[in-house]
Amino acid sequence: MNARIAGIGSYLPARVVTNEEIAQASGIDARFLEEKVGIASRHVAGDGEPTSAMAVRAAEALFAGQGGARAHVDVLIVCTQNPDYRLPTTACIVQHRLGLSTACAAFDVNLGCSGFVYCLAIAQNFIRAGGARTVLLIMADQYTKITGREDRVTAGLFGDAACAVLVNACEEGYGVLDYLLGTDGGGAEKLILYNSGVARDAGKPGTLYMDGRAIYKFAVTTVVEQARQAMDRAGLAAGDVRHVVFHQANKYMLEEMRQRLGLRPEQVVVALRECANTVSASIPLALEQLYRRQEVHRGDVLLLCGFGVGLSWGCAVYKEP
Amino acid sequence: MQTERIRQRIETILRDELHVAGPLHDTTALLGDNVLDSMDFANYLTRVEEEFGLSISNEDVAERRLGIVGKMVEYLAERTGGGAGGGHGDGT
Repeated sequence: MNARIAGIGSYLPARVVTNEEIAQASGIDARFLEEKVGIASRHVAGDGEPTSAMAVRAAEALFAGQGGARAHVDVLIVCTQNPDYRLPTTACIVQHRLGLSTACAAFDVNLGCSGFVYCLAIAQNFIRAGGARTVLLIMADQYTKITGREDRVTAGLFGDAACAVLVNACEEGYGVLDYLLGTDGGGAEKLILYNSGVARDAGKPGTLYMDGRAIYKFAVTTVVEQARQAMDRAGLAAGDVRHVVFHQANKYMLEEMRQRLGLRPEQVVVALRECANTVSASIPLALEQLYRRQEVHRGDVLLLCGFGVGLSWGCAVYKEP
Repeated sequence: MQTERIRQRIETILRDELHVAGPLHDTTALLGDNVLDSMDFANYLTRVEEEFGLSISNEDVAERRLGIVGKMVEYLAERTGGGAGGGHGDGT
């Protein structure tokens, strides 16, 4: 058996920040953000709004449409890089607030934009090994808390969001058909929050540092190659994939990746205009929109491709059951 | 001359792939003269690296002022062992 996506619920904080506000603080051209990067606005979590609260809101939205699913969750995974605390894990807090069984395994995954595909792969392995029947994945992050308001490289790129995905088993030949994960820690300092752990980095900024050029190159070369490899491994030609859901980094980058993979525009989902780059939540948020619009049908093949901080990437081939 | 071929290859990238329509001179500053924005510039550098089969560090971009067309031509001529005085001319 394979893992399948059984439901998605999401939460976006109420406060919306426009490009004009970003432009005022950082000097970035608001039109550049909208037309080139593809972002018109983003949601920003309040100061008193911890990641666990966002995660709980997303899960409650999911459970609202899933009847008794709450009682069946065997494993809870919260993917975040901005946890409530260094310890305990945010997953433990969320397990309690959601009223999940104490027999439920709960842990955090510290990954950014590749996180959803990694978590899906973990769920797949739990389910295939018989260690779980129902896995709840919650991607919840708030990069706006760590981004410098005046940093012209990163300001305006990120938005806060949480997305909960219920995963359970489906028949062989559907669901997660294959996945490919990878890491290049040689690029660790290309996207990094210095002085955020026990390491001391004298003279380094206290807000998110991003080498935008390096990340761009990584996406359009390494990640494109991995996506191609994932399709090859599954015996898929570009035209066989109904939807390609990349991590929603920016529109310009997605277009370049699309062209390099020889995909048609309608195959590639672009869903960041109103929420910006929501890190690990970006792929399931885009998927949620596809499902809401009823654009995914039984037998459709999807390529999910996350990439970012690490450097880390993951591609999954998914067939809708 | 090698440098002329390098200039042509750079111009091809800028014209055909980045759709630059205006005049391009050795003194053109791609960012400073608003020929490219920062996203296009990241793309440009990636394409140049791929075209010439080499890696260009951020330090070189800044110190050698590689956003200026003529500076990039000089730099690539050095890196590829060509240039007017280089030993690997292409025979043309």
